[in-house]
Amino acid sequence: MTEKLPPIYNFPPLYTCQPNVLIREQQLSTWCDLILDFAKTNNAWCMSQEGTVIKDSESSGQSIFRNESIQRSISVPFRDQIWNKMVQSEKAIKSNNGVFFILWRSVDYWSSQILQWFETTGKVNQVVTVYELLEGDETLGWEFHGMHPSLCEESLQKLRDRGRATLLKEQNKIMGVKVV
Amino acid sequence: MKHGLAAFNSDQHNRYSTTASILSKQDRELDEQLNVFQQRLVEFAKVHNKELRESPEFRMKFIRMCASIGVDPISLFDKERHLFDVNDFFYEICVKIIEICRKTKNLNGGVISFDELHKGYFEQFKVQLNDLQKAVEMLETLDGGFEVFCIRGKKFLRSVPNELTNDQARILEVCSILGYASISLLRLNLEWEPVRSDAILKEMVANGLLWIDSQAQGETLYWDPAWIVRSNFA
Repeated sequence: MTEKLPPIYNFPPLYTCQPNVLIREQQLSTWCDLILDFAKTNNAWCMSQEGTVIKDSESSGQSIFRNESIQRSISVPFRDQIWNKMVQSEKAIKSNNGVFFILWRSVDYWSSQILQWFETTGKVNQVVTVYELLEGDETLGWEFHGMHPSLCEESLQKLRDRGRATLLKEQNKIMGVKVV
Repeated sequence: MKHGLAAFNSDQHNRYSTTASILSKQDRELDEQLNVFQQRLVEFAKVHNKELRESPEFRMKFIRMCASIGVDPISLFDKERHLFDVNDFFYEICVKIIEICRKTKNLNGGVISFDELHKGYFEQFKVQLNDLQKAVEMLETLDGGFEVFCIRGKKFLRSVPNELTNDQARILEVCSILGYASISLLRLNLEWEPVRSDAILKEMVANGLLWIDSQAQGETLYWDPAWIVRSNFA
């Protein structure tokens, strides 16, 4: 899972928090780029605080913060610093249950992709369920196919804020959407 | 032939696909036009070489125009035919070198090898290693704190004003073999006392020249960030 990451991923001191402030800033932003890269190549929408990919609400596979090939791993406090930086620079959203949505594209990008899908397939003014949007055959081949529902909610809310969508809710959960 | 509701959809589908094909055609045409324009610009530069060389004002304006439509000035120069003033070619390289040094300063503490400059940035512009060396020589006359030094026969460029001491240079020399240095390694190779090694290594970490690795077995290792690029081309 981590084979395709750039060579800096195997640079041993990357796993030790650097004392020099300037270097540490560089180190943190390197980690942010690595996480984005990792999430994108593995098609991961969601990661645990421990750095594993979460699919179907189960975490699986190895953690990005542990590099077996060079026997190095990130300490817990430094890991939290990396996540803070991710959230601060709007490359991740922390959800209520402690998992992180990785924004290898911005929420704005996703919402405009979804809008584009509605427009090109002529689904404007029709009600489409979130399930259809994310798992249906009609969105196969679109980047947002298979997206995590919570991240999709964020994107749909952007559309609603722009006055382009009405959201249908059931028990406080968005079930469907109508784009106008 | 479709029946029922599906029969209405096909028309709509066609309409969107024609729009899409028109848009992608326009996109292609624009790309081609821009390419042609860029080629013409290069040809223009060759024909009016003499005027360009003689009038610095004309030259400046021309280069600025090239930059604004996405023609990298370096790609315009032709060393053999002395397109423009040949020195301009080196000035452009100088500017690029300064940009790269600025950008990578926080990663490598302001020390970059010629190999890294060449393979990482300049090879794509067909700039040779000796062109690079000539440009760096020109930078030195500016007295802007750029300095070339050698470690085990390899040339490095230092772009930060604090000069490397002899001891620091020797540590970088040790790093160029395995990628790192440590107190015991320095004791074995240079017969330095641990106190001396410790002080210099810590200072180099503070300057950003070395990165600490505290997870190695036995002792702390001090890594040279140049390792990242070396492993990339290995």
